[in-house]
Amino acid sequence: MLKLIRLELKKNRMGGYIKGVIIANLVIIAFLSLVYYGGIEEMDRLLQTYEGLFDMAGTIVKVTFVIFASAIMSRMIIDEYKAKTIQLMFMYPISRKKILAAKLMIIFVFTVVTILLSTAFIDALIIVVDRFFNIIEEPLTSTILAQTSIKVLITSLSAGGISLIPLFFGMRKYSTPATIISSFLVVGLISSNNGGVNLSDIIAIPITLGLVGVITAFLTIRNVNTKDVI
Amino acid sequence: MTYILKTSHLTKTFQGKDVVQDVSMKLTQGEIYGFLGPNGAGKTTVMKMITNLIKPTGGEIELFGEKLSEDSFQVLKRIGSIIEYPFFYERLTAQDNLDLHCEYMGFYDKKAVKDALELVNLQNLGKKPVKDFSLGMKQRLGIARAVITKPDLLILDEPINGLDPVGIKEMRDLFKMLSQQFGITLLVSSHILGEIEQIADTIGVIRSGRLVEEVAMSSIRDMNTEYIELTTSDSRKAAYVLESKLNILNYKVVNEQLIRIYSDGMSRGELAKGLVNENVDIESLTIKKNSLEDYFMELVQGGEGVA
Repeated sequence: MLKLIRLELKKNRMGGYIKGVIIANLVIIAFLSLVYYGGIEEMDRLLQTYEGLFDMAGTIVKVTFVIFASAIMSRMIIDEYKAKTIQLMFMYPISRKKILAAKLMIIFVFTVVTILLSTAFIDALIIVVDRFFNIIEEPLTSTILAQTSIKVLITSLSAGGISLIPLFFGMRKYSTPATIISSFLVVGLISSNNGGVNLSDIIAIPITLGLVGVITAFLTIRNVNTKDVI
Repeated sequence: MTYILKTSHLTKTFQGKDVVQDVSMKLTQGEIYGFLGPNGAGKTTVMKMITNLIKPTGGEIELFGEKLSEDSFQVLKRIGSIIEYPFFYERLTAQDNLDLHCEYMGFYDKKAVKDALELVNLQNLGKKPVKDFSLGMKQRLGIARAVITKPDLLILDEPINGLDPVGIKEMRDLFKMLSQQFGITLLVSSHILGEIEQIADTIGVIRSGRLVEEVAMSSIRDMNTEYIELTTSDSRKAAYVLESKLNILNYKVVNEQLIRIYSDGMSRGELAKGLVNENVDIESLTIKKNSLEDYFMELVQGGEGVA
């Protein structure tokens, strides 16, 4: 399995994606800086607490990298079916289930790790920057840190699962647009803010969707041996 | 008798239509099996079923003595193939594609890639990605990939597609060499009867999903009698003369100028004399041999023609 993962990474030139992740992070930081700066002027209520800012950061990071993951999924799975190189893969003396599982694992781990690291990084940045500007009213307690850490962990794991949901849509007609748009819709839906409240606050929702994603992946893997490859 | 490949009553129904029906074929070790058939006859579908890409609706496939099941994949280690059209990772180079192939196949011979590229005459490609290759180059690379691991069974779907005459001859020699020197069994499908005729040991003809004939090439060669081809200005008159004056009944009027005479026993000279005596003018009188094309045409008569 490790060998399969290594070959997938090599085949798809995953090294290039690291650059993309860094750029995405910089863009998010730039965006948040604008919000933060705007907050200095307007004393936005949302920015009064660490939680508010952390949540915002977390949401943006999550949306960004779930969509990013769908692009990777498109390249790694949908494109192989479209270009028919999947036919080539299925003629190797390797279990088809393992082949797909390796790909899906990469996508899942990518999503979880990038969201975890990026959110941690950006949250740390917020803490540091606020030392200088002192916009946020409340003190930084260890409770806040602990709560945030748990939230970030749950968010990244559920996002990992959610990033697998587009598989269902993309595999219908082997369509890249379907994959990316569906991921946009799913993650956008649960992250949209409606007067300061969003669906992700109901912790059951992202967790359930995460599980739905994982189940989708399982079903796709399970059926791969019976489906004809035309 | 070791059958490398054996199918029994292989059937595939697709959306209510029988694409492949009751195909039972046998390949013995070391032979070259020529798989012939018109467009849409089901050749590619059969090949895909053998490599487990398509699941049969009925019948079974036995590879190297073992039944092929839905989950089989180990057996694929002993098979090399090009089916339909060779697909590659277009952004990678030929070398990378072949390296990947060897890794997935579990084949560890560094020299093999270089040797395989030499074998198909694809050297000095450098860093060119496959998407910049011509059709002929891709075809050659596909063949290189299929043979690189020296598999026990080679399944080639129209391998000379897109090759120039020099390439065709090179591949023909390569296939013969693989069969004779390495004892590899080949299943080759083609529309080019002349090519199959030159390399095949056994012929399987498939038409509308059914295997209409499976016969050794040597039988066809024996079966083929010589005949005399007569070109004249009025074949009907000549036919009349043949029947009534020369007592030749075994002939066929091909068109207004051409008659084929099958019965032996009468030499060309005698025939010529007999015809001339009756004022049948003779443009040409040649001895011909039935080719695979004629045999094939007869078998698929009524169906679509050869591409």
